[in-house]
Amino acid sequence: MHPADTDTLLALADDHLTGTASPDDVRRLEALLAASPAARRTYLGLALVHAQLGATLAALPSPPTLRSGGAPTRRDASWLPTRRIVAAAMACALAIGSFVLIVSPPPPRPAGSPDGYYPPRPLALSTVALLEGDDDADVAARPLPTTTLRPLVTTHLRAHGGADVALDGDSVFGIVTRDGGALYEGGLQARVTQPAATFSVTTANLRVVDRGTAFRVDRVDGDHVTVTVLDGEVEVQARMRLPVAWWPFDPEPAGGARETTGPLPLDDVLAGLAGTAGRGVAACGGLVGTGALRFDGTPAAHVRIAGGTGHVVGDGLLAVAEGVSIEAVIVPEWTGHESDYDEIYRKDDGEYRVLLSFQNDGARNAAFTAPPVAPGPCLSFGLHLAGIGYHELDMPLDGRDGRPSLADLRDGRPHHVVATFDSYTGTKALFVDGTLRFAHDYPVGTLVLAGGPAAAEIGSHRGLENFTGVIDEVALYDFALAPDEVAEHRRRIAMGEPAVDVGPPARNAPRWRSVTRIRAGETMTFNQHTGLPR
Amino acid sequence: MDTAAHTDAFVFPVALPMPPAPDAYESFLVLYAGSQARLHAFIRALVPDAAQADDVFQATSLALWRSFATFRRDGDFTAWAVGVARHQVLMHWRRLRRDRHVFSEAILADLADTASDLLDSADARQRALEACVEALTARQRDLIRRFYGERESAAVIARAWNRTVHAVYKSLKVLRRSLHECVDRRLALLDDPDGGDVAMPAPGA
Repeated sequence: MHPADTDTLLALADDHLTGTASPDDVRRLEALLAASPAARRTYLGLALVHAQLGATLAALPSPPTLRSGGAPTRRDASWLPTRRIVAAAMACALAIGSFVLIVSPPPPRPAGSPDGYYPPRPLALSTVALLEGDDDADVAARPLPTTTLRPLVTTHLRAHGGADVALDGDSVFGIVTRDGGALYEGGLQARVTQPAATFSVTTANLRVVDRGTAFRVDRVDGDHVTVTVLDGEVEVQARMRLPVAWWPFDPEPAGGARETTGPLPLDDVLAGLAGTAGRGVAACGGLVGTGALRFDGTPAAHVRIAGGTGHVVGDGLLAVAEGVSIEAVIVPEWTGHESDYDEIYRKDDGEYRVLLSFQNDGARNAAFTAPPVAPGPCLSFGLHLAGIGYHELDMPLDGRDGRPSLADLRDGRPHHVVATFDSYTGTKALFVDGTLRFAHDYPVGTLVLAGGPAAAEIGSHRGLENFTGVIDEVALYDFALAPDEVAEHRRRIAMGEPAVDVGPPARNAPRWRSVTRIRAGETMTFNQHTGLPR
Repeated sequence: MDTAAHTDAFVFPVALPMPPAPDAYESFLVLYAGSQARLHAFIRALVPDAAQADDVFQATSLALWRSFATFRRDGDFTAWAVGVARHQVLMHWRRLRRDRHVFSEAILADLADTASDLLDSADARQRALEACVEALTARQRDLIRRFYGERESAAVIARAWNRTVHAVYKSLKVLRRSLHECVDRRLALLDDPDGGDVAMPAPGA
């Protein structure tokens, strides 16, 4: 390159790298880069200087001066003697709480509640103590199995599982089970009070499980979480991104041959939940794998799932709280007519409902629809959200704004449909053929309330709203699949492979895998999406 | 509606990423840790904005883990990871394609190819840069600390130094240019050990 060209190139490149180049400058720079590989190397050389300067020693901030008894640093042994004092202070703080709420018995059935009412299990707390007089009556008014706390001041809880938890004043924490919850904002400190007790804190794809300990978890930003162990040890785990239950409908043995005369392959292959079908269901060639189910739309077209239920709402394998995904491959033949409904998946514990179905409500039920949409045929994703109630995401099948039309879905070809809800983002979404088509946002930390004694069904709702067409590869997840995961699943299915490669079906496989253990006095930061230490 | 995406359902003849086996985690961590710095440098070279580069790096890390099962254990992990990162970078720019400050896709693809070639020297470049920075004046190093370390804006630095914002921008520009030349000279020296001393960057800040 001519030296004058190099000067021009470097001047333009610097402006581009620092975001001060005009559109004309960008076009001139582009012409220079297109003309010569040497120009591209020069540009990238300068770009690397710009990129790597932040990693030089000169860019490092001055080391902070720690006060005596300051926050612990990684493997800061000098801090160790103070950890027991902190843990003890937490326990004392619980004892002097100014407001105590006992939440033990299940709530009574409300007067005038309709038939089909299922009582929810109680909130998994025995005590809520608010140290600074903040009247959080909200908790008492909503003793639901899943409840999100958004305290304004430091708030102390005792979980049924036996852990004392101190929530920071700016935190958002979802109580999910008797021995664990989800941290959405801020930080908390937890300490188990009995040797047999346990407690875990989940942040999206990461879970911190105590091993007889006191520990802190803080959200650094939207992506990172810091774990500090005050006493004992914790295990940090990453989520195995596999379904809770999966119905591939492939006959045994899987050998590629279509099996249309033997018993219907209805069982979930992960948790062993057995299915029973009505006479309106028949085996057919698989859209993925060797088998699928054809539903004839009559009242006998249903598959009922045994198991996965709980005694009360909020319990059971098929209960979900922090997130959910329903996935299926379908060839629908739904009419789209008003008051016609075709269910894909539904678990209906009264108002605590999880469903994915084709619906046309006409002008009715608009109060349950968020966001509001015009009447007409839609793909509907219904959930009961704690503190909000039952809402449906009704995606109009109108062929507008990237949404499929009913005719698109009725083209006789298989379509991959996925419904997701993620409490960590608040987003409820519907994907068709690997692409996000429709979504609605709720506050971050909104939990699902689902599960209970009612049986889940595929292709029907209690013998009604029967599906017409083919259903294959139904999977239920207890977390929200990410958009790129959905796209990957679709690509796999397009190749005739299962959406998720779970290997040989392993019943009751672990749902979390260990990333590392952290000992007292140590602090580590993790990316909550990848599970990798930062 | 997006008919292209919709009507071509189930016809993708592409190799499909599969989730890794549970026991692959440690293997992944070892390989990932060894390539992390070069991967980050590759992305930063193609995505100048630090926050955007962090997003792309995170998306790349996630994509690597999710498709780790497709990686041949006897293969070159860094080369494979750079291929994944290249895709993520192009996806990032594709999302911003309406911005008239963004290069065309053809140029971005050429730059990504060239950046892959430069990766082998990324560690040497970092060491050379460190040596060049070491030779700067205290004031120049303070400028690096503030702008690249503390991420202070030029306006904040200008106030602290009682200079104009324009003067700070100009100092940074001169500094980068000097360091770029210094790094190139040092790398050339590595290729030609008898080539003589390396001149230090000219004072600019």
